[in-house]
Amino acid sequence: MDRKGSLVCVGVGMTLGSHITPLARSYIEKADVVFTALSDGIIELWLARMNADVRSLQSLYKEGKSRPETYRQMVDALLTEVRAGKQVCGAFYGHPGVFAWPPHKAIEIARAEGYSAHMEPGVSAEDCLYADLGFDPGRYGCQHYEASQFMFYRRRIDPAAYLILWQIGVAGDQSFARFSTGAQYRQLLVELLAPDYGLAHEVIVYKAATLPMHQPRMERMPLGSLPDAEIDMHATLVIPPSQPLEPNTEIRERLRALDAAP
Amino acid sequence: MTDVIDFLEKLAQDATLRRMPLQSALDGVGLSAEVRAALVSRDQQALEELLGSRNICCMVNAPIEEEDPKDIPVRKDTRAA
Repeated sequence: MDRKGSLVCVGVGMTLGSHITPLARSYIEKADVVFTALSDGIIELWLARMNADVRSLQSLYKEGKSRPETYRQMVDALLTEVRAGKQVCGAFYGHPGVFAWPPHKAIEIARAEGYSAHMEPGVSAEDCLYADLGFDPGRYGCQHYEASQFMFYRRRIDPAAYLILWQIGVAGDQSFARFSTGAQYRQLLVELLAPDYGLAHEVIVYKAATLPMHQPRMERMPLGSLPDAEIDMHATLVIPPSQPLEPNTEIRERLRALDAAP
Repeated sequence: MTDVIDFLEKLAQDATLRRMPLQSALDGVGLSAEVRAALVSRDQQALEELLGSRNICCMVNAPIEEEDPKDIPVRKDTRAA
């Protein structure tokens, strides 16, 4: 009897061994085949022990090759085995649905074709960031953008809230084929941010710890120094608020009127 | 004998080990001198070279949503029947 194919995309968290949930581990161990997209080679080795058929998606990457094409191939690799009737697990670092295109797309297509498909959350870099840097996104609010998308489209920045830009190592890459962009690209990003923050405003370059003996990177610097900073594809830019929250007196007055109404 | 992946997993999940200096956590763990040195110096590149596993990319985010998703075919024939 043929088995119906299925897909689950799980997050393994950021730090090897510390963040994986019991359920994510069980899906990995019990799958017919596991595809991995992970942050580090050592984490690939760790995952490879959990199932007899673990296939890394690393070989699909190549500098100079369009990353959207790589992502489509990842989706195709997952769905090929689902269509073959296998119970497929996609294991992604962090959270499989946060700044991650292939898991969402693979689940969307699998469901459209009638297969069972779902996502299990994981501890994301964002989660680690709040713990490591010691701020609560609920305090002032928090905006998140992928750095290149932030540059390509006009946005209304709220400088009274935190601003977090992901993938600043490839900020401004319109080819989607590079593994890094340089200081000139980050200089443009700084020019985009400077009117709201000023060049002296302190920003933080952040990277979560992926191995248990490591500490997170939390490097503070003036915004104007960002172009010359050492930045790789793991780096995230955290920009604290530069302005106080501005009370909305009109809305508060109307709320008071509602409170006073019989 | 514990290998380095076993050691890292244990270190990741044991609060007592996490509170220890890494040198102490490594006491009695049967690792080669090279691996031990890479761990103690937190040299990830050296460790990956010793283990023969190095990733070249970790990005899975698409900064621009595709205008036309038709290039990823949705097969409706297989399950609909």
